[in-house]
Amino acid sequence: MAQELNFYEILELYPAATQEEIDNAFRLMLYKYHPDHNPERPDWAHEKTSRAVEAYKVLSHPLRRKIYNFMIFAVLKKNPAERKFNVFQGGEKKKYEQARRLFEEGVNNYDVNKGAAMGKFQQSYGTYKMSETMYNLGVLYTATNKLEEALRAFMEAVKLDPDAVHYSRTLEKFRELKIEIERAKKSSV
Amino acid sequence: MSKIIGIDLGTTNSCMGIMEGERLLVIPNDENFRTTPSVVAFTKEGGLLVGNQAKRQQVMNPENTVFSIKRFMGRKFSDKIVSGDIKSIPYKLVPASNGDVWVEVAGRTYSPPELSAMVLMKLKKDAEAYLREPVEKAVVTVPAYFNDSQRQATKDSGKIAGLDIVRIINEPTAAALASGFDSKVRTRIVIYDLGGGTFDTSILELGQGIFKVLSTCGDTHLGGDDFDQAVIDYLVAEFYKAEGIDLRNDRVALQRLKDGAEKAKINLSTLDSVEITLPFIAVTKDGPKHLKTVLTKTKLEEITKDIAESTAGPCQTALADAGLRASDIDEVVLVGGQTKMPLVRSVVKRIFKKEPYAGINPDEAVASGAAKQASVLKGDIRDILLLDVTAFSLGIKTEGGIFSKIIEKNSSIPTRKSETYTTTKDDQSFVRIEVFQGEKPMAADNKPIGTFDLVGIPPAQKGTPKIQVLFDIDANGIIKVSAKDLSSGKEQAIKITPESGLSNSDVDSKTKELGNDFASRLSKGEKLQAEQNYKETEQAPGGEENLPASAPAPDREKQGQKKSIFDLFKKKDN
Repeated sequence: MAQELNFYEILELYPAATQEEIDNAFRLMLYKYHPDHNPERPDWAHEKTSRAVEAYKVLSHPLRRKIYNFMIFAVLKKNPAERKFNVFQGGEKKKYEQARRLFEEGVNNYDVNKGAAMGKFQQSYGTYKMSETMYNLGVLYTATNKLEEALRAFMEAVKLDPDAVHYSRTLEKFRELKIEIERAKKSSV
Repeated sequence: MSKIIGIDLGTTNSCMGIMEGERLLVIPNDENFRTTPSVVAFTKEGGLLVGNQAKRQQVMNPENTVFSIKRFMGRKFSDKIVSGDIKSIPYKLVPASNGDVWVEVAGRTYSPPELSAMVLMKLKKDAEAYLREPVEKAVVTVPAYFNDSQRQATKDSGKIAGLDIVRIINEPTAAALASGFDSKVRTRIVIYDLGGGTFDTSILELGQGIFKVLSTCGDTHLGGDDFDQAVIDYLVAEFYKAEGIDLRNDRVALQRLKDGAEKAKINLSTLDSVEITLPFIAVTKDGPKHLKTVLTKTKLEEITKDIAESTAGPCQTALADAGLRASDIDEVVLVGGQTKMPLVRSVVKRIFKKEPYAGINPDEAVASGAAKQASVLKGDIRDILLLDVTAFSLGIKTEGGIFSKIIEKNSSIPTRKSETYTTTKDDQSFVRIEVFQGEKPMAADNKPIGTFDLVGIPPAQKGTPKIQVLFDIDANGIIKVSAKDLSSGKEQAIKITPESGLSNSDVDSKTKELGNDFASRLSKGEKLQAEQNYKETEQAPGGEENLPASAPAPDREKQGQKKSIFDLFKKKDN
């Protein structure tokens, strides 16, 4: 499958665009692509407009946009790093290989079935503790709106691998996001 | 490029419009009225009547006069709504072989799209006569709350009528287009559309030429007809109290009551009380009985209060869905004949805490908006764009009967969304995809839209195949669903078979059938009707109360002068 464009690319914007720039970009897209203005190529128009509509739905909503930005930053890790084991660690090595298989199954399930993916990652972590698994669980919890669990997972990942800059930055960003989500929830009640 | 007209195909009345250059024009019918009753009648002689002429003979021919057919478009005979209506309508509803509700009239059955097509053909004919050129294309409006099968049924009506429906747009959205607000300035408006049979409310944001619908909500079975029914029920109860006779068993009496109730209701928008006089409404062995009563505005408001109040719920939902409060709304626009009632206006004012906007004709706004959209599609208007929403969530049934939403309600359309699913058993070779529409968590509690099987999945461990289900909703609000097995790399897309409606071959055969004899049957009906009218004016039978409110004024005057004896029963009509 071809690499999907992200929402900023669809609207031909840069990630720091202001709300006004997003609105204007969306209007331009509509005028250009909407089926009403393109009666001679309805399928193309439908496809283009649908994509713009979807991108705008997320980017025009400040909170949805923040979550989206976070999800772009916090991409799922596809493979755990290679671990080296010496001759005396045969048992550990076996566990690691088992965990790695489960990890891959989790990654494969991510798009299809989030529940199954979560099960695989949890099993994998139970078999052999890897920071990548914890981090992926954090991403998965965020995607399924389990914010408390996500926070704990990212904190755990940082603890397991304090030198990984990406983990600590993710945790930092996630904390900001969580505060904003909670603030938004409070004001809407 | 040929002309595209805008048609408001209403439950009780229909209206047509066209853009002539910069000007919005309402196309009058052949009797020079700006709206045409959506009524079809089959005369005893095998003729056909549509519009005013059909409505005029309704009292004499209730079993063969079909009105409010829009209420039954795309519905099943088993729908609760249909069984509720069977008792109150004088024509006969029957189940079709696929479970859809059809009408049995003049010795055969008709699907609602066919009957609707007859109204469309009459409109087309009148528009062609007025514009002096063939009309082949139209933008037709439907309630925002119409679901997929109701939209499909409307499209089928067009096909049968030989009219290419180039776009279906939602009625409140059409009204917004016609409202005349400057779409360049950011404005938030509410359209409150209470017509003859349906209630719709939409919230839109206007800005830089884009009419963006934020949310929509409504009830496809709430409208002016329900107000009339409340009055009928009241009159029947009063008559029963006084005379001990139940008028509900007499179809002719019911039709006269319906006429009288509607007229009284309309007059009470401007008067404080009206006298309802229906002579010879029943015959007993003691002689004929007459219904003569006074209905006050206060009484009318008392018996219809609950109906008017029931529109508040959908309005609140629409506000909440748009994430707005009443104070965020700049204008409230009223559309539909029933909004002329002062009680309805006061309910609206209370909900939105704002005086409704007065600069729009509630009977013609929808057709005008459709005409404007037609002009956009023709390419004549380039600086306006409509971005509507889907009124329902859409999804499929997953394991355990759970409804998995793919498209959320109030999503902007057109839209395309996909979701990936997998198998639940080892070596599962096919998956059944059941599509539902609604907001309930369990699929069974929502409305089924269609089902199909994706077959030929290569043997694999459960949970490994990737099956992508793709949902498309086009700008007409019509849904297309397909599925693809990603793991086999083979693309297998299947179109959905609708749960209801006419098949393509049905539509084709009905198109041929109706196309062949519509004109001849219509002219036969109209000729006979004209002869009869002539006889009636000569011999002066019947009475003024037999004439619908929409009858042409000259007729009414003529008959009034001739039949002074009927002054005895004369109503406070004006």
